[in-house]
Amino acid sequence: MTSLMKKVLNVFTSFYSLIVVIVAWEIIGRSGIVPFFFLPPLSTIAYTFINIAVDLLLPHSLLTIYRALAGFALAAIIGVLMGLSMARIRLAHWFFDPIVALGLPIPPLTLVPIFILWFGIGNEPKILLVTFGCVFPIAVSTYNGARSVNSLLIWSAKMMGTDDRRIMWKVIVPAALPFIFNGLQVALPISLVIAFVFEMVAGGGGLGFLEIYSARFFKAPELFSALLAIMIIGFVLDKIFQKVRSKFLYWAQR
Amino acid sequence: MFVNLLVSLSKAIPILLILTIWETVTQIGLVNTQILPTFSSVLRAAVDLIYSGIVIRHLLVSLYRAFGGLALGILVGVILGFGMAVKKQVKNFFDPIITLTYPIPKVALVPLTMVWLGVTDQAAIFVIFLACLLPMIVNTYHGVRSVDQVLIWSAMSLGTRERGLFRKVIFPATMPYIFNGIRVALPFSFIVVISVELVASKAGIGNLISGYGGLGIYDYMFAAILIFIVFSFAADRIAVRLMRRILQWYEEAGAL
Repeated sequence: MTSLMKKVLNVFTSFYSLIVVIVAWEIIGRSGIVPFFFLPPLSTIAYTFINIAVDLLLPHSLLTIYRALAGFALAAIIGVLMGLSMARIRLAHWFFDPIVALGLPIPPLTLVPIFILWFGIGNEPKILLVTFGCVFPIAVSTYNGARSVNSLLIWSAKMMGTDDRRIMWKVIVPAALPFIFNGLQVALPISLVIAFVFEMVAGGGGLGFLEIYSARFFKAPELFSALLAIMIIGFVLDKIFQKVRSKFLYWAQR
Repeated sequence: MFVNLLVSLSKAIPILLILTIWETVTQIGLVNTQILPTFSSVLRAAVDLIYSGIVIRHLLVSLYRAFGGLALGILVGVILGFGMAVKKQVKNFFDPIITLTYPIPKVALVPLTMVWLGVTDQAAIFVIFLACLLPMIVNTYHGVRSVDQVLIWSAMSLGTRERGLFRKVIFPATMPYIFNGIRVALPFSFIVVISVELVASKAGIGNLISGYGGLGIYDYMFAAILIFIVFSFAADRIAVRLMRRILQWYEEAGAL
């Protein structure tokens, strides 16, 4: 066997199962063994996806992304500040430590009814619940990062006469940055899930709303299109995050 | 002893402080009790929910779904993880499917399973199963792959056959990884069951919560949420305790 054939075969074995699944899906969908709204053929879903992409999917997607990222950004700011202050200030540690320990294991989605009660059904409850769900993992990893800064670095900086504020921004924050990014990476998919489920439960537009709405009226192709959209968004956001991360952390070995 | 007590008391102060503020602002009417019921009334409601047996009934429904899905996810995930680690063909088949489905939030599949299976226990169990499946596969796979070769060689040189090798060496060595997967999957099962029940269900703790919310009986709604949070917190602690006990022989069990 030539090396080219081997290469082709290797590529094929690495994704042939996807072809099997796709073909089986298409055949089952077309054969009429299952009702149309159970499993529409993939080609129909693709057709619908393209058809409603601009008019329906895009605005709903943007709404979901906006809610997720706004909450995420808020959580990033609060979480990093909380983690840093916990690592450097004893009083902050005393106050926040039990709150984080209690808040971290709370499944944020249980609080959906409370957030609806407090903030209504617009954008605010969704954004704020995303913030609640993301802030604790970010705070914990920031704290761990800031605690694990090599003391030698701090001592050297102090010895050369660096004041406390510069130590914070020039030594501790950069040294903790890989940990902070780890926390952000954990929080990013959480933000999407919370925004999405909140929209499913409370409505008010967004991909989650679009999906549950399609399910109620048995519009299966639209339902699958919404699923496809949330999949693509999760994938793309993660890729963008990786890019940003390697830009900030080019000096740190992964 | 006395110092220990004092230390743990000082740790509880921030929480007690928040609860006190909650109680005061609602008692003196600074915050409308229609928005935030007083803490004492939430506690009273919680006691009532527990004593009347309402919460137990709904909790059992939720637990049945959560643990049903979790158990299925563990079973299938461990088998698939082992299969992928041992047989290359199995890995080739499932690898691309897993890579592609990994970024889907599993809760997003709730409306789809509603269409497929209706508003039933099976629909909830199916979504929870899917949510728990991936961490189980990934952890089991890595566990098998990272079994110390020296262990396998020593067992073989002592005459262990293939089946004994699996039962006596590979499986025990993979246990810590499997437990790690379970610890990831356990909160998943709780999160997904509550989401499913909030979206659509006829019973279960999520149904109880949204029911009280819809009727505007907020102290009971807060109480039900509080009970569920305490319960999921306790479940994680119990799971960790159990795992440490089973893995006593494992030197890093304390790190679980």
